[in-house]
Amino acid sequence: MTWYRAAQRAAAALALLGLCAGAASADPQKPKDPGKGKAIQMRMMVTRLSNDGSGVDPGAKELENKLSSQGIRYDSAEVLQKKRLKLGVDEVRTIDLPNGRKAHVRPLHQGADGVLMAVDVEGSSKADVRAKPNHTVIFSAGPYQDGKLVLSLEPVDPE
Amino acid sequence: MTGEHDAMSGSNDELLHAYHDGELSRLGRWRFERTLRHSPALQRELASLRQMRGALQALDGTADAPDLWESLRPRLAGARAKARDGAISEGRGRGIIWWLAPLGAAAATAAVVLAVYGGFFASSPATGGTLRWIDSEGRSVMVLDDDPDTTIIWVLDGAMEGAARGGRSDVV
Repeated sequence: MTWYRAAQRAAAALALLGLCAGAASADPQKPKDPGKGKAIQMRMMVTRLSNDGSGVDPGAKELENKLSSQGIRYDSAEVLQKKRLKLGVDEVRTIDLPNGRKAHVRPLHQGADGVLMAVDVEGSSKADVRAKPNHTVIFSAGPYQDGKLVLSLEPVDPE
Repeated sequence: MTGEHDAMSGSNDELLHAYHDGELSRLGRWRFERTLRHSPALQRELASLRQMRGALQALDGTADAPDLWESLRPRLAGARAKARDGAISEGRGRGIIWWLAPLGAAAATAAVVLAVYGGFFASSPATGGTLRWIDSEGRSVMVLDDDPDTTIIWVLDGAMEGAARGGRSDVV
C-alpha cells in the first residue's frame, strides 16, 4: 500500500506542476484585445456641398455618388479637408470645421465588427456609430456659405 | 288476540317481514311456510302486510307526479355520450399537446435564435455600419443606411435643405 500511495502523491504533484506550467506559459500567449493599445486609423474628409454650378471635385466624386444614390443631390462638391486620423481608444480628436463649428471624434472600441466611435458635430448631431473598415459614415455638419458642410469618416482596415 | 300476538315470537316477526320482502333463502322460506301454515296469527299478519303493499302500490300508481324517466333517459344517454366524447377529445388534445410541446419549444428557440443572431448581430455585417445612438437636439434628422457601405446621418438645416434636395421646403 505504501508504494501505491507514494505513486498517487507523485502523480498528483506532477499534475499540479503541469497545471501551473500550463497557466504560466498560456498567459504570455493570450491574445490581446485588438481594441486596446492599437492605433485606429480612419479617413476624414470635410466637403462643401452646394448648387453653385462649380462641379464636383474628383476627390468628392465617390461622396457625391453615395449621397445622390440616397436622394441627396447637389451639383457641386468641394473637398475642403482631407486627412488620415490615427487615434487610440477613448482618444478625442477635434476637427475644426470651416463654418466655425467643431466636430469631436472618439473611438470607443475596435473589434472584429469594426470601430465603434462617438461623433459630436456641434450644432448638428451626436451619434455613436459602429463602422467596419471602408464603411463610410457621413454626417451633415451645418450650413456653410451657400451650401452645406459634410464630414465623412471611414475606418481603415488595420492590416 | 293478545295471547296469539304474544305467541308470535320476535324471530317469527322478523321472519315474516323477510318472507314478505322475499329475502329468505329457499330453505328458510320452506321452513317459514311450514310455520305459517300452523299459525293463523302469522297468516293474518302476512295478509295485513300484503294489503299495505297493495295500498302503497295503488297510491304510487295514482300519484300526480309525472314520470320523467322516459324523457330523462335519452338525455342521460346523450350526456354520457358527450362526456365520453369529451374525454376522448381531451385525451386526443393532450396527445396533440404532448406531441406539440417539444415542437413548440424548438420553434420558440429557433425564433429566439433568429431574432438574436439574425436580427441584431447580423445587421452589422449586412450593412457594415450600425447606428447605436443619436441625438440631434430636436432637429429633424434622416438616417440613411440602405447602401451597405454607407451610413448617412443627415440633419436638415431648415427651409434651404428641403429646397436643395428638390423637395418641398416645409417637408422633412
